Amino acid sequence: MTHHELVKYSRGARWFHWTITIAALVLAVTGLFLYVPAFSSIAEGGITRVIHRVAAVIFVAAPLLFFLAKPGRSLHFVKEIFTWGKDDLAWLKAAPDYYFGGDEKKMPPQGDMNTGQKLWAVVAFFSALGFVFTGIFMWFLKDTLPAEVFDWMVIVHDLCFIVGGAMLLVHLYLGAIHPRMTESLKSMIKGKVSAEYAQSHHGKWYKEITAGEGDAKGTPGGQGEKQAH
Amino acid sequence: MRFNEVESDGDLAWLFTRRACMHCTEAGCVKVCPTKAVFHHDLGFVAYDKDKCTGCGYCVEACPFDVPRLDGSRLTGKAKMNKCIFCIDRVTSGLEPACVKTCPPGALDFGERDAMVAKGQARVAELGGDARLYGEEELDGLHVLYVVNHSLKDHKLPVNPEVSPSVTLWQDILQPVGYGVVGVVAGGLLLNYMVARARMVKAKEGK
Ligand code: HEM
Ligand code: HEM
Ligand code: SF4
Ligand code: SF4
Repeated sequence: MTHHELVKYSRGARWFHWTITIAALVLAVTGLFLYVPAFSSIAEGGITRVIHRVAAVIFVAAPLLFFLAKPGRSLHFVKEIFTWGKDDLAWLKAAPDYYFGGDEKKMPPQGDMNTGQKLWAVVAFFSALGFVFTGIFMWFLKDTLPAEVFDWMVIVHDLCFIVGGAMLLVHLYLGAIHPRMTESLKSMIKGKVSAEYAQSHHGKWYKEITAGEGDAKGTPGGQGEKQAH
Repeated sequence: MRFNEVESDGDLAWLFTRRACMHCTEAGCVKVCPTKAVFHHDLGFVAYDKDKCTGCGYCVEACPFDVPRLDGSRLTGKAKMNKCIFCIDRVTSGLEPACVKTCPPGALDFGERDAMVAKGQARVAELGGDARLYGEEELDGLHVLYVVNHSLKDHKLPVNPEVSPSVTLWQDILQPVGYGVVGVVAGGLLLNYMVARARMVKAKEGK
């Protein structure tokens, strides 16, 4: 079986992903208790606000640690998500039909991350920056900031919540629920995908990592690093 | 309590201005409080239920008079707000607020708002000159009125107190927009799921 499985996400990448996910979900839920007045009675006493701060520390620390551990791979990832070209336009044109269940063959072949995935990574990147920047002000500089500026910090924090939160719903849906993404979730949990799935969903990537090799033993293309084997 | 020394017509004057909650009709604090720990009481004043306070401090920033104070830990964020509660227990059992009762020279009075406005206007007429009644119109009417006989600046009262535009943007626009966006996205995904599944099943059967 190993012959037909390719490594998509390394162990480190998967741990990183799920740590950030748990932190973000806790932040979203504890944030929601302040955002939605109907739930806000849960925040009485302030315990959810303490939890928000603990999760925020994890949310900030995890990427920093990952970066320190794997600087090359992190930079490569950031470079990749900000590299956009003609192929992305073709993807955007073909995507609606594909995601609404149309013919799979009309979709141009994709690299290890398709345009939609890059888009999510970019949105997550910027909203994380927005959350952290404004969150630090809201946390530590409450009495130093003029009232108007403080309001704007909350407004931007909320904007990140609306944009990032809506896109997170889409991400969760595509990663775990959409009928076509049969091995997406598996790849983020176990790290591997089948050769068939790689071919149909990430054709360009499949070609790259199998090119010139007799076997299809994978490299962890998720973060683009070549692994010795 | 605020005490300001000002010079007027070559003389020094001492202005004493009581600086507690003004119990606004259009109250910034009520607008932003997520738990409705501050709320409009039927009698008109702005009541405060400390048990409900999460300590978020939004009211501190939203008050045009810089009244609410937050006591607690900056690090954990655990805190409680403090402000004048209009002696809610006394007032609802027919007594006057403690400040009115104890003020030695009887500078404070308490009663139906219309009667207080009338009394204030009478006093303004008596004083003449620059005297005016502060709080009659401000923020749709404050439930604390002042007869002021110096400029508002000297009394350190805002000339045009208002709930700032950023509070309005945050509470009246961003909040509903958030619900709208999430609703549309969730609906879209549900629709996508049903359509995509149906078409994929059909394509399979077609083969
Ligand atoms: C995925 C990340 C995050 C999400 C989804 C999130 C969400 C939220 C939401 C919805 C609110 C309520 C705003 C309102 O009342 O309208 C909030 C408040 C707040 N957030 Fe975040 N946030 C995140 C990250 C952070 C980070 C990284 C920090 C700090 C570095 C932070 C600090 C705060 C603070 C201080 C508040 C103000 C309320 C309080 O004092 O508890 N947040 N957050
Ligand atoms: C809510 C629960 C979440 C689930 C179920 C989930 C699931 C997944 C899955 C299955 C993948 C692999 C996609 C593939 O290669 O086929 C993935 C990738 C990824 N996830 Fe998540 N994820 C979640 C939350 C998050 C959060 C909160 C963030 C960031 C703040 C995040 C950031 C990413 C990024 C950057 C990738 C790689 C690029 C991409 O696929 O878009 N995820 N996720
Ligand atoms: S003075 Fe400040 S605390 Fe009092 S009701 Fe007005 S906005 Fe609220
Ligand atoms: S600090 Fe307390 S009273 Fe003030 S807005 Fe927050 S929950 Fe409401």
